[in-house]
Amino acid sequence: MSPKEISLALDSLWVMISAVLVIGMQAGFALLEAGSTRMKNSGHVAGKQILSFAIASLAFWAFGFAITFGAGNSFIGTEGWFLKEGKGTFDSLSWANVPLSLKFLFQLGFAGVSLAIAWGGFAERAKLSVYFIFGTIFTIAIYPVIGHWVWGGGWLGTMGMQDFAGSTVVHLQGAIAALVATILLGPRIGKFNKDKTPNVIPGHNQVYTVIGGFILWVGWFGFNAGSTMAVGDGFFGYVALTTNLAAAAGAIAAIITAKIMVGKADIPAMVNGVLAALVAITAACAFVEPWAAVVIGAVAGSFTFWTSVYFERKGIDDPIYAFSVHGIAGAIGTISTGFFASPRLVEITGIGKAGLVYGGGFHQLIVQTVGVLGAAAYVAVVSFVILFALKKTIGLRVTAEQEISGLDISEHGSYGYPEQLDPAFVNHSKTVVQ
Amino acid sequence: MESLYELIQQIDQAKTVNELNVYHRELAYRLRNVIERDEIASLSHALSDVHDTLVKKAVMLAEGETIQAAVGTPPEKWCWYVMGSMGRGEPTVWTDQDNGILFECPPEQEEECYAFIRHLAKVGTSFLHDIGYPYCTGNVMATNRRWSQSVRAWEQQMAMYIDHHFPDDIRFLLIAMDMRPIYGASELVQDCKKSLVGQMSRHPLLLKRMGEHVIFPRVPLGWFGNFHIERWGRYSGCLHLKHSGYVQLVNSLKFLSCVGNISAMTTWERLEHIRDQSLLPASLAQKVHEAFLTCVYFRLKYSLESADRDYVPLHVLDPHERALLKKAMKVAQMLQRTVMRQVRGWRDE
Repeated sequence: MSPKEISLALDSLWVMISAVLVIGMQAGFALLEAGSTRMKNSGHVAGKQILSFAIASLAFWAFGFAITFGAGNSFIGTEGWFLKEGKGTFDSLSWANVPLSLKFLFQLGFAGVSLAIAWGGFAERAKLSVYFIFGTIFTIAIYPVIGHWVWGGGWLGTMGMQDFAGSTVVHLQGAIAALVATILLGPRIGKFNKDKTPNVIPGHNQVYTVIGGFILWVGWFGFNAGSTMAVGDGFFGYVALTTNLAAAAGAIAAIITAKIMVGKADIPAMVNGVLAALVAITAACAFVEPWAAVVIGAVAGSFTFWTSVYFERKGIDDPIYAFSVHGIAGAIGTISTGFFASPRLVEITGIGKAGLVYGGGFHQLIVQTVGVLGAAAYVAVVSFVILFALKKTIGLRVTAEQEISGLDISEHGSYGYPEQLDPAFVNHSKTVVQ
Repeated sequence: MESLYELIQQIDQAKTVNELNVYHRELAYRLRNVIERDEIASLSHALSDVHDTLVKKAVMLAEGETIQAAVGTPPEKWCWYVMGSMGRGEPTVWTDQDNGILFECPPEQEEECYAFIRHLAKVGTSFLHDIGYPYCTGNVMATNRRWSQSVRAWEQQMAMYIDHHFPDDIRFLLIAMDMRPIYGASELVQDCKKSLVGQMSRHPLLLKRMGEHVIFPRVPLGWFGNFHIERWGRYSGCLHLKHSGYVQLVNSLKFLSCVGNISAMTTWERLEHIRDQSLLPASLAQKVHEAFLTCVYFRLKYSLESADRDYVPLHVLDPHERALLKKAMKVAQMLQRTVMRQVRGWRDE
């Protein structure tokens, strides 16, 4: 084999492994979200993760990938439907030395993660039909547009926006959609009292939450380090290092922040701290030095705990704190390179300029901020229009009776935990015991 | 203050439960006009005296009714006692019931005497409820046999608690340490309490367990001096005043009283003896005294203003009050740490 062929083989294998890791994050989301919600909705919450990825797979294959990476203008790609390759169609990904099928598979994982994040805002009260419709539209008309702006040759990429693996493209987008959804859906029954004070609706299985968090942590090595899409120079190892350092700092910062703020070393807060840190380092992982990765992870892990408490006090019921963990942390991470992007790493990646801390001036900071605001505004407006239209036509929310009964039985006809919830099985187990 | 003592005189003249209920309700109105941080010690004593008089009067009425009902045999000696904040002499206006009865009679008459006591307890707690003292949710009341029995049975039970010293046993012992006679043969309660504290003070392992018990709940103050307010529920955004220094001070002082074999009745007296025996450094004892006054002041003040007596929204406290309360809470933390250091040095055998 020639060195070129060996390089192709190794890069392809690495991208395939990374794609599997990123797609495997769906399992992490299933466990994290199911563990953080109630037993009566567990089957629904976990199961819809498969539905979501299936919808994303088809919609991204048919249209989403072309809009994201296909040749077109500064706002959207207009070529490459159904992965149809022509001359220069996917030039925006020409830097990656792997077959198109692998590029697609890897990028599909990202689109799937963004959609999974959005579902956090729908949890425990949205109609199943909404998942079909919004999932499809999100994968075609929302995610790919921002993806194109930053990674597909669009206006933000041209400005030199640094978002290595998608703090804004993947996480902020999903989080903004989640926020719009949670506001339009309204709080779950019982979340707030008449005087607007919030009640706790604890997740049914903290162990699931922790395992889900850990699966995501591991999956993030595919997400960030895999975004090098090459093994030749070993840079993926560096990206993995900054990713891991940030996650560790986020865990510790979050549990300490929870202890300081509310007096409890809260486990779900620690898991969310890890995720917030990972979200934040996603943009910065290839641009910042290890010390800065620790700072970014710690700030994101700590700050998002505060925001999750704050939004709850303000009457927003975000069941798994998707907006704080992915939105606030996504913005923190994206803007962080405006401060911490080091000249050495900017030269290696060839994207944007050095940050404020290294004497790079305000240029990169402004670019990053514009990117965050632009992406957030687009996603907010389009998500609102779609969800508002759905609300006024088919309705977003199940009936109160369905919500109280739980989505497992009302939307799917069987419980995730029949022995605990289904009267037939509960009585049966009592009889057996007697 | 004088208006409270006038009230005591009026209560003394009362002849019915309804009258007592009226006087009880009047308490809050009278206190509202006189409550001040600097006067809190004497105010708290006066308030305690009013409650004592009300309870005493209710028990006298219950005794009359029990005798009239001719249920069982009146014991040779019996005493109605109170526990909790009333027992410690630092009640709020709307305190609930924590009470019991001790009696003494020949063993062969015990069942008959108990019938009398049971009836007395039922009528007495019911009268107190009608006057405005809610039933205790933890069932620390004379109607519960745990707290109403012969001296002999009571001593056996306490010996068992001391011997086993499981968490619930320690909780019961801490409750029993607050008993204070209100009506009847007060020497029964005084002697029992003296003997109880004496036994406890001679049991090192119990003291160690007790020390470990009283370092919880932690004072709800963060590392940067931030208040830990309730996050969820109808009291979201509120401070739990009872847990914001008060209960930590009270329980730590009870622990130190056991160490020093101090069978004093009230927290004020306990602290005095603790200081006399040098169980705490003089400077810390002084700080604890001030902190305790602050905690009593806040509990009393906000119990007048709110039906949800234990919770106060943080935003209601002005900056001066926050600073005052925080200072007291920090002292409670120091006291808990002192206890922790003390028990950490004791061997677990």
